[in-house]
Amino acid sequence: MITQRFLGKCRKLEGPIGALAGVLIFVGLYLGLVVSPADYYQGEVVRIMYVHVPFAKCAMLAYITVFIGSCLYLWKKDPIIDNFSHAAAGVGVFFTAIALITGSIWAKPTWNTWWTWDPRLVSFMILLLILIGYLMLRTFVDDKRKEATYAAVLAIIGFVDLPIVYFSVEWWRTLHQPLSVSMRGVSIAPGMLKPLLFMAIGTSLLLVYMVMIRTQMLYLQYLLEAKRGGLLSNAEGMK
Amino acid sequence: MKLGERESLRIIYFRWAIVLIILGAIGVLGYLRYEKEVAAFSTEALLRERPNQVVRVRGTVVPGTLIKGELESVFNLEEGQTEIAVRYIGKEDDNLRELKQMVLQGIFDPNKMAFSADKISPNPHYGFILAAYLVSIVPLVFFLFGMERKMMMLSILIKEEKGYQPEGS
Amino acid sequence: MPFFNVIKWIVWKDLLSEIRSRETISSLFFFALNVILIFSFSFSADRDIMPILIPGLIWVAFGFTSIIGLGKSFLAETHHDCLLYLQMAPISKGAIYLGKLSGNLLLMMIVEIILFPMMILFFNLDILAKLPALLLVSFLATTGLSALGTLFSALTVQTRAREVMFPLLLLPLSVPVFIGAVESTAGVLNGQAFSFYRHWVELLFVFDMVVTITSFWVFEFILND
Repeated sequence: MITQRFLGKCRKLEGPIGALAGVLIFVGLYLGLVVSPADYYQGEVVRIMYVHVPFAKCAMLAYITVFIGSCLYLWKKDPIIDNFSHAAAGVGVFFTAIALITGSIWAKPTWNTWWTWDPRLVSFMILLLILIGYLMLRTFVDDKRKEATYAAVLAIIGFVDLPIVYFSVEWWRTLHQPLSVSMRGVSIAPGMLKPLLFMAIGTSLLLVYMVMIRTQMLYLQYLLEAKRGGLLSNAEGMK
Repeated sequence: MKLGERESLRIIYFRWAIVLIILGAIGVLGYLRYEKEVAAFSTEALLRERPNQVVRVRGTVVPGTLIKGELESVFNLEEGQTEIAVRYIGKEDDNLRELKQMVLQGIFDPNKMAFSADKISPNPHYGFILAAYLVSIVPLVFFLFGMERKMMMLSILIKEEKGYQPEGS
Repeated sequence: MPFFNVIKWIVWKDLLSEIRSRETISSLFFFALNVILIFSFSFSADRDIMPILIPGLIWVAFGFTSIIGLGKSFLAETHHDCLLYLQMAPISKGAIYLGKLSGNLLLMMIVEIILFPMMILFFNLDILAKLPALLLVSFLATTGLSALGTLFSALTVQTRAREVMFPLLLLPLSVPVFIGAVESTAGVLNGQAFSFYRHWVELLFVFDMVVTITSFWVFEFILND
């Protein structure tokens, strides 16, 4: 019941959302790489912001989606909701990894280091580890229902844990590294706001689109396995 | 029925071809802008080519040579072994510091081996920008394309699987 | 059965089987001893540097020990279908979690308390006066590790590659415990006033509360499936 409604909605919305996401991202990339001005302090390097910040935001959104999906699953116990949070986790790993790598590339020219023990960076690293653990745990459980429940439990615990990780690293850092590199944000000029806005909205829509596609993909995979399993058991019944 | 599914697979390929063309176009535009507004001579190339129009040159501010003023600053710029004297005429700039990589825009006077700049900016680090964009856009394209393709393949497989169903049950 | 009786009986059951077999405590103790030994050799034996390293050393040892100890927590329940009976029993599943948590906490604390005299011996520490504060920190940090570990032990006990999955899930999530424990232990060992490391103790306390309450709530779902 939920499955049919969800898949129906996906099929109806995925086209427009995907197209809109594509257009917004193209415009954002064009504005970011070609039109927008360079920052006064950072110079041209500030252009990395237009991919890094939206991707990082999407990683957070994806994890919130996994959390909501997991809570919903524990409540409704519907396999499509499980596919949904599984899909969001897969997309989340992707966005988190890219946000970390682009952040590292941005940090090198601006702070002259690839990595600092900044709470944001560490939280993202932990987020990546949790999501990878989440996906690995799923591959190690054979029973579908158990897999879904265990994954949901892990996602919920990880979600309540992340803010504590953030604050503990922040306290730890202020104690051990009295802010040697300035973490001053970029003062955003109007010319820089436009591409950032386009990219942010574009990637958020892209996230929605990707989760929709991946949910369907996982659902179909599940369906195919079930069908093949059904065929096998039928064949055994005939013997 | 099967033909329809193959058709939709073809639509996916077509759609991605368009996406790649647009991305390529943005890339070309970005490159043209880089050539026009960012690309700079190294100090060595400047000495070799001796251009006589407004050019950009990049290099490191030699420590100990920088004399900063309200409206005019003087310093030496080097890259590798080549050092040139620079006179910058313009507002004082916080970014202008010793040992900092800068890009200057102005005119080179080969006779006096001096460069007079009217615009300065920090090193663009364009390699990092390129790397960041490649690292995010290329995997994104592969990831999403793979997902869409797999979804289509699976739905084709499932439709074909159905064909055998009556024999089993 | 009333809620607290369930907890009491589960702790008693775990403790009794431990008293009879004496497997866990002795193996954990020798494991922790080995870790301390190896880490002392891996780092410098320099008298000046050692005091800085000791809090980290202690908690790396306790952390690894808890991975070994907590990971096995639900393994014993899989023998003779104990897990199945626990699932079917008409008792609060949250109480089972709290019972297992208390049992694990008790075992880990015993191991740690035996290890403290060893620390005095090895590192020439003068901790007798600081023992109450040290015990408080150990208790809070071990509660945090046990709360996460008990939950993840139940999560991974029925999966393949259990030995790998358990630390992979436990370690990233217990980052706050390690930070809080190392910082407050350093504060205690350096003889600082409580107000200097108070916020780390509070951090540990908040972590314990958040993780225990959340796990208490979600544990039901693990056992019911």
